[in-house]
Amino acid sequence: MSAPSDPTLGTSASPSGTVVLEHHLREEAVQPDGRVREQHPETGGLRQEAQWQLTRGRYRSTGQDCQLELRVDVDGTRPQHRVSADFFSTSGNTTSYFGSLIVHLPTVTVTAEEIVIEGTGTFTFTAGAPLVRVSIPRRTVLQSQADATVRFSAASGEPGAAYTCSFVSPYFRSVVLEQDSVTGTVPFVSYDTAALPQPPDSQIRELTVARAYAEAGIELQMSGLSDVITTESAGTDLLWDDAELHNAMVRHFSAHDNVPQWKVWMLVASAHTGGYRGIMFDYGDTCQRQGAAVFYNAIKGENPQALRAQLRTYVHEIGHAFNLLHSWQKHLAVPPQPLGPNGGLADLSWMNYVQNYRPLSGAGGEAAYWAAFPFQFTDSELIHLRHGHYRDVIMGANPFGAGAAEIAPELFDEPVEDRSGLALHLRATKEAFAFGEPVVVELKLCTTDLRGRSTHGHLHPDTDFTHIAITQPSGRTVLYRPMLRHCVDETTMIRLDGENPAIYRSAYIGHGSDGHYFQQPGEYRVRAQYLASDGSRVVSPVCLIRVRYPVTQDDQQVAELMLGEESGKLLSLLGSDSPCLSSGNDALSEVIERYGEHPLAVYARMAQGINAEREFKDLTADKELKIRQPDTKESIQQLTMVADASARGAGVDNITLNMVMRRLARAQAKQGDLEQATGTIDKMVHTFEAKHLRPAVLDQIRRQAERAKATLVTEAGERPAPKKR
Amino acid sequence: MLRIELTAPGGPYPAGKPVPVSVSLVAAAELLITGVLDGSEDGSRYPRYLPSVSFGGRVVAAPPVPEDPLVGPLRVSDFVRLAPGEAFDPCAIRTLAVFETFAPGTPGSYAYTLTLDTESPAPEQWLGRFGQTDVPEVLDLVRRAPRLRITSPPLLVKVG
Repeated sequence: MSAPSDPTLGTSASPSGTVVLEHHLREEAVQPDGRVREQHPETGGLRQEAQWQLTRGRYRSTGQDCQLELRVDVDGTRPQHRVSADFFSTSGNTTSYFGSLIVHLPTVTVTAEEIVIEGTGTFTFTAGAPLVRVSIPRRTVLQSQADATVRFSAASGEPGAAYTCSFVSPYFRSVVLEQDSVTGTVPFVSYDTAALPQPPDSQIRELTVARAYAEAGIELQMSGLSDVITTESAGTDLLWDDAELHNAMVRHFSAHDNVPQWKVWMLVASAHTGGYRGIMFDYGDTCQRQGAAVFYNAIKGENPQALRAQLRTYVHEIGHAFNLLHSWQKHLAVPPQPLGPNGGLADLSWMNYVQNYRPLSGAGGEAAYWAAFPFQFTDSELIHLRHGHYRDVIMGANPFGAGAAEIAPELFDEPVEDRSGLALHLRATKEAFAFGEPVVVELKLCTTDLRGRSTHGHLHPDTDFTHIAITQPSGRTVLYRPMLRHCVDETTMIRLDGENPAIYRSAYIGHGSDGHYFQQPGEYRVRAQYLASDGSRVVSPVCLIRVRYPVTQDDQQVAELMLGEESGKLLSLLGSDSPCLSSGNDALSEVIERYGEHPLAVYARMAQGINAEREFKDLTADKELKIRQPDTKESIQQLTMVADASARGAGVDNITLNMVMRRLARAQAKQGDLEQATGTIDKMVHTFEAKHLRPAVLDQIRRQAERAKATLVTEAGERPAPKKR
Repeated sequence: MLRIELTAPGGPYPAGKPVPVSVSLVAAAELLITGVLDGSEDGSRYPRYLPSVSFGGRVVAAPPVPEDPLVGPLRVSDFVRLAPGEAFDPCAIRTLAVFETFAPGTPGSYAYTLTLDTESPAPEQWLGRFGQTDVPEVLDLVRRAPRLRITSPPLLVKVG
C-alpha cells in the first residue's frame, strides 16, 4: 500500500542545550477566552503579578508534505503534563490524517528564555525518531504568543524531522456545536453554581455547556444555526426513537456528513421511547458520535436542582460524542482504560450517574454526588479530551467505545482537504448477502471537476492502485489482499468528463490471500482508496455490507461448502482444474448437484462454467504440459443457467453478468454456433436495457457488444470448422 | 421456577445509614439467568432488576429515570446455570444503587422489595449498545433464559 513516509524522520538542526533553572508554573482560573494568567514567583521579596504567557494550547505547522498539530499541556488550569500531536500528510491535492503521538509526563525545563518539553512519544505508527523535544520561547503578556518548535530524534540521538508550529488557540481542541430544538421545548442556558451548596473547593461561576467544556480546555463554538423542528419528525406518538433522531440529525444538522469532523449536533427533544434523560444516539452506523439529544420532558424545570441536572445531562451526552464512556465502563473501551476508584463509581465526573456515585468512604447516591461534585471531568477524561488520538476523539471517526484495528484505519481516512477532482464510490451489489455468498462490490470512479480530469484506469483492487479495507463485525479491520496481484506497468490513462463521466469495476472481495473475509453473519464496513496519477489519495465513503444469518438447513450446508478455503480460491480464480483444488471443485459440484435450486448455486455454476469455457494447461510433476480442451457443452449449460437467473435478478451483479454473457457467447461461438453467440450478445444488451441502467452505461454496453460480436466473427473465421455431428 | 429472597441480618438499624440488604435468587428448576447488569437497575436493559423501598405505603427510594441507554455488552460469562434449589447472588458483580445508597431518615418500618423482569419483547433488548460481541452465542443464551416477572416478598426493616 502506498502510505506517507515516517513524518518523524528527516533532517533538522541539533537542539540547543538548556539549563534547568526553575519551574514556575502555577494553576489559575481559566478566563472566558480560554487563556490562563500565570502568577510569577516572588522576586527579591516582592510578589509580582505574572507577566509571562502560558504555553498551554494548540499550535499548527505549515508545510508542503506534512503538517503537525501540536497540543502543549504543561501549565495553566489542571495541566495534564502531556504533549500530543496529530500528523496530516499532503499527497497531490489531498490532505489526510496520518497519525498521532502523545508524550506522557515529559520533562519540563524552564529557562529565562524558553520552556523546553522533552520525552519519548507513543505513536499510532512506528516512528523512526520517537524522541520529542518541544521548545517555546518565553513571552510576556504584552507580546504575541510564541511559535513552538518540535524536533524529533532517534534513540541514538540522530536528529529527525523538525516542525515550526504557530500558536493557534489556548484551547486544545475546537468543536462546532449546532443545537436545534423541538417545538415546545426550552433549551438549557446556564446554571449558577452558587444556587445550591457545592464543594468548598469549587469556584462559584455561571456555567453554560460551552463554559463547562472550556474549563476542560475544549472550545465549543456555537454554530449560530438553530432550527426549531416541528414534532411530525418524531411520528405521531411524539416520542423519539433512535432511528427518528438519526433521521432528524441527517435532515437538520447543517454540517452533517459521513466524514470525521469536529462538529456535533445536539437536539433538545421532547421525550424518548425509552424514557431517557438524554442520549448520544449515533452509535450504530459507520460514522458515529455526530449527534446527541436531551429530552425536555424528563429534565425540564426551572428550579436550581432542575437546572443543575440539565447542565449535567447536556455535558454528559456531548461527552459521549467525544467518545467518553460512563465512569464505570472505561475498562470496556478498546483499548481498555483503567477504571477510577470503586470501579469508577467513585468518579466525580460529568460522566458518572448521580445515583450510582459511591465514594470509597461515606455515603453515596445523588445527594453525596452533588455535595462533592466540582463540575468537572476527571483527569483521565481530560487526557482523552485534550490528547486522545485524533480518530478516538473526533466525531465521525472511530465507533463509540471502539478503536481496535489490525491495520491503521487512518490510512483510509477521508482526506481533510480534497482538491483531486475525483470521487470514488464503493457499492455493495446487493442489499444483503446470504451467508456464504461471494461478496462482490462495484467501484465507481468519477470526476467532480466540470472541466474533466485525466487519471489512470487501474480501479480494480487486484492492482496496486486501489485498496479495500474491511472492518468486520468484531471491530477488526483487515486489508483485502487479492490472491493474485496484477502488476500494471503500462499507463492506461483515461479521461473522465461529460462524455465519459465514470468508470466502473466489479470486484469479488469475499476471498483473498488471507482466506475468506466475510466468514460470519453481521455488518461489515468497507471502504476503498484509489491512488490517482497525480498522487492524490481518493477515498470512498464507507459502504455497509450485511451478511444474513442462514435460515434453513440447506442455507447452512451450502454456506459451509462455499466457505471452504479451496472453494474461495476457485471463486477468486473463476475456476481451475488444478489438482490442488480438487476438493474445492468437489464442493462446488456438490452445490450444483445437491443444491442446484439454491440461490448460491449460480456462483458455483459460474466458476465451473467459465473454467470449462477455456482450455486449462497443467504442467505435471513430470514436466509434461497437459492441455485440457474447452468443454463448451458444460460451459454453455452452466453459464446459461447463471445468465437466466441473473437476468431475473436472482444471480450475479450486472458487471459480472456482462462478463458471464460474453463468456457464454464465446463458448457458443467455439462450439460453432455463431448465430447463437451473437444472439446471446444481443440478449445481453436487451437484458441491461430492461434493467433501466443509466443511459451512459447502456451506451458503453452497446459499444462493448458490437466489439464483442466483431471479435466473435473474427475468431470464428480463424477457427477450423467444427465437425458435423 | 425462581424466587427472590431479601435478607438483612440483625436490626433495628440506625437512621441515616444504608441498610445492608442481601439478595438471593433461588431456583426451583434448572435455569439460566444473569445477575445485575449495567442498565438493569434503571430498566434501560434486560434483565431488569428493579429495587424499591417503601415507607408508610409510599415509595421513598427507587431508580430514577434512566439517564441514557449506552449500556455495556452482555457476555456469555454473565450467564449462570442454576440447579434446582441452588441460590445465586445477582449483586455479586454489580450492586443495586438504591439498596446500597438509600439511607432511611425517619425511624419506622421500611419495606424493601426487588422485582426481576426478564419479559423482554425481543432478545436483543438484553444486548449492550456498544462493544457487543458474540451476538449469536449470547442471544442463544438469552432465548434459553426463562421469561418471568417476579417480585420478592417485602423485607421489613426496622429503623430507629
